[in-house]
Amino acid sequence: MIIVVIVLCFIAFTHFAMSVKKIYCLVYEDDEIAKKSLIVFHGIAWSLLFVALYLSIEIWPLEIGIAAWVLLVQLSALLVAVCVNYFPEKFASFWKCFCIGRYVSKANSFD
Amino acid sequence: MKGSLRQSMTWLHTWSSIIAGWLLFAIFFTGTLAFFRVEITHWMTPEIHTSVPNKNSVEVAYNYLTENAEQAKTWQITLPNQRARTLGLSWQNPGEKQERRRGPRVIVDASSGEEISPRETAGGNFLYRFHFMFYGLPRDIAYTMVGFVSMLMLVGLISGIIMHRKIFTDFFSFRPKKKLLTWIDGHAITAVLALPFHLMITFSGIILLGSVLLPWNGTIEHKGSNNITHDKNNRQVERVIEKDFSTQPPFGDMIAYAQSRWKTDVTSITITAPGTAKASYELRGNNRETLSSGRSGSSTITFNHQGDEIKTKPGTEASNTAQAIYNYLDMLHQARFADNLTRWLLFLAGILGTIMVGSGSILWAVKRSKKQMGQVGFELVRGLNIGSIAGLLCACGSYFWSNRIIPTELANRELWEIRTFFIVWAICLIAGLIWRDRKGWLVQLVIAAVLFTLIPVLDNLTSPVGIISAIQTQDWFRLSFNLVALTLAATLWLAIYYMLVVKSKRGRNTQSKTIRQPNRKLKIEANH
Repeated sequence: MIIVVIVLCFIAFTHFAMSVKKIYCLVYEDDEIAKKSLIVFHGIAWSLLFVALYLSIEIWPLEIGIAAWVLLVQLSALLVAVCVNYFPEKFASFWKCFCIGRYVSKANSFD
Repeated sequence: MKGSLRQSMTWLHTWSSIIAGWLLFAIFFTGTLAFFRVEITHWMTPEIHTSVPNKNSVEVAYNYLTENAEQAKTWQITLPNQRARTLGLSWQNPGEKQERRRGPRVIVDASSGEEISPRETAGGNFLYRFHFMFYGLPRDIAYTMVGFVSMLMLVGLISGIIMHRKIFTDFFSFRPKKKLLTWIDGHAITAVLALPFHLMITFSGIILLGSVLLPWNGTIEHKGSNNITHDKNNRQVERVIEKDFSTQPPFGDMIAYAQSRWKTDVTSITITAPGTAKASYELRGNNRETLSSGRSGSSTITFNHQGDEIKTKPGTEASNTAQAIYNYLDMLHQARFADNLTRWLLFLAGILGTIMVGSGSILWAVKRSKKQMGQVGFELVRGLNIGSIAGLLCACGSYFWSNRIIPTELANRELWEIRTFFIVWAICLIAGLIWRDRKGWLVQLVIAAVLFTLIPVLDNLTSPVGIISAIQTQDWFRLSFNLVALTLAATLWLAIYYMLVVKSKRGRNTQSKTIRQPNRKLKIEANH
């Protein structure tokens, strides 16, 4: 269950990372992210974080669960930062295989 | 402090942090280690490495107490748990003054029941205490100093958030091998990624020291209960009570029942009136439901001698909102709620905080190296950076080494451990001020790296239980300590490699480029 929370947070932060222009350009070689994409990325990311929060509260008691969730979010953000900076190609593959990346075309719209 | 808000905040961030940077690094580093102070103390007392917990540990404890504390009014058994591999036993004899640690306290091997006499060691508690009250200073002065430094840290954090123009855009960005940019990114990324932790730990730290920082808040009187019974002539009354220990209570059933209710391990058992018909067994576990209830938030279950549940006591609630908030912050800061996973996550966040503070101090010097080289203030910062960052690592490494090298029979040996820590740190600070260049960093980093690399070897040679046996008996506290030491050593060796090889290569490349393009260099200089 804890692994699931970490994976959810990791995918959430992958979406946050992809909404950063610099990282988006690394993957799609486009100049701009469409506003629609940005909203979708953020929407998915926040939804996943809330699901992770719900699961954390299921694993631990409420107050401890919230504290643990914040710590797991930090861990996931760190992991995403490491991937983006040191393994950008693998990060791009992960985005395209396991995230919404497979539905985003190079022309900045959803297929 | 001139210009826009952002410029003012940059000024505030720079100067509030550089004043407190070195102390903050020490506080963060030792505080981060203190999350595992119990485990560090375990590593630093090799005599207890022989203890291997098993299912019968509670019976072992019971048998020890029946033989050694038959007439005691109460027994307290601390069972092996997530953070301990020995049995901690204490008891209160009739007529004895009730203190925080009731009566005698012994450490017993969890499988054989033999009493263990561990060496005198300052252990992880020294690091824990150092991070909020330093050492050898009057308590109020130390608290005030730490409180002041914590406030500067909070100012640094808030001003850092405001001055950071692209906090979201740069959230994940780290540009390695880019000199100044690398330091800026390293400082920013470690700050931003663990920002909730940094804010929580700093704010809660200040709140915990609130009683000293706000001296007009009134004094809290701790009134201990006095349970001593006296006769008419004010002499303690002692009478021998006939006790029957022929049947053992069903500890296994009691523990299984409590664990199934709490979904967590039982950590201690308090036995009142042992060996009598009124004997009761109060089981306690790390089963708190809330953080706001504070340290006594765990519920307990009490059984009679036959193993029937006679009472369930819920954990105490905070008396008011202010107390609840204080409890919440206290529990978070000291990780009193934490299981293994959350403790490691807090440790990781603490490491990020330590890197943030250290990289901030180095960044200050790197940024000004061209303009201020040779100036007294700049050179002082440069020297202190080496002594307070690399020097502290050497001091910590030496502290762990001294624990195993100082003879166990030496009087006040725990003081010699602490002295070793401070002597090594003082030498490093002086050496840092003398050799303020790359060589100064290299020498101290190499010393720290060697000390931490050899810690598992030292552990294997000086503990009665070898590393292989530790793996077999699953002594994860000790093995984790060694692994963390090796990880730290690997990081230090990486830094040394980077300084020796990568930087030298880059230096040579820059030189050769300058020789090949003399006109271009002149042009750049002219532009500057």
